[in-house]
Amino acid sequence: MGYQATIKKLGFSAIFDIKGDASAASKRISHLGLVLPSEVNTATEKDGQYLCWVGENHWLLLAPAEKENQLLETLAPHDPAMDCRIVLLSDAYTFFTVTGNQADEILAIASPLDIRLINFPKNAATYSELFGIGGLIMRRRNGYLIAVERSYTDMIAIYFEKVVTGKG
Amino acid sequence: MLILPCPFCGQRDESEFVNAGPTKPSRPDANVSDAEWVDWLTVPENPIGYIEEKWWHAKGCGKWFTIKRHTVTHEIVTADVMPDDVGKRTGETT
Repeated sequence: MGYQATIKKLGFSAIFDIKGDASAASKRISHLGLVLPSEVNTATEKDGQYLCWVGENHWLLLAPAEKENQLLETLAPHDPAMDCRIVLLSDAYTFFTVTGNQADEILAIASPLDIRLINFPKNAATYSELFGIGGLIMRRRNGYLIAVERSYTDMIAIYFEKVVTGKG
Repeated sequence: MLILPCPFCGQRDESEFVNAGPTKPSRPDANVSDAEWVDWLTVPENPIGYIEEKWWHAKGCGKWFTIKRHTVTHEIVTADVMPDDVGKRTGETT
């Protein structure tokens, strides 16, 4: 039995890990036009950039790959500011999209996360478990955006293939 | 399978967490006997009833927290709450 869903591995994206005081983080990203999410485990969006609130003092900034150099200059990740640490993580993650009428069914197999809209709304973004490893899950139109550590890319791609085709 | 109350993320499946064992009493004085030291270090209490234990939301937000769980029914009666300062960030903008 297969599912009506499409899994697509995406190309490179710019990812910055931001940890520290909320007001300091807010200042460091203010030039991007992004605001800190007001609800835990949600994301704000501006011009294709996403800021995800994924931990108590922890945010992830996702942006198109072509913006990486500009972000490196403006975010100054190597600035050793004690109140807010920014680290470039673009090389560490691989992104997948899970879309289609039965994307929810695929996520329900891959993760124990409660993805009902009441608990995982349209702007939701959180770390959870995916096929036994940790990963980022964001709700997108008609599906989900998934990020897993790059070393698990092939394994996760195979697992998704098995789930979607029902040949596992 | 347990559903655990992460102070940051809310109710999440046990598989997202790592159990870090029961909370311990304070470290004994360095002059205690070896037997007393080993007892404190390695022998966990295993009562029928409520225990306090630490959990790490390893595959989630990374938060450490403590819960009070019944060892038979798995009922969780207390859990850490989000610090006030995090709640006050709600609505914060640039």
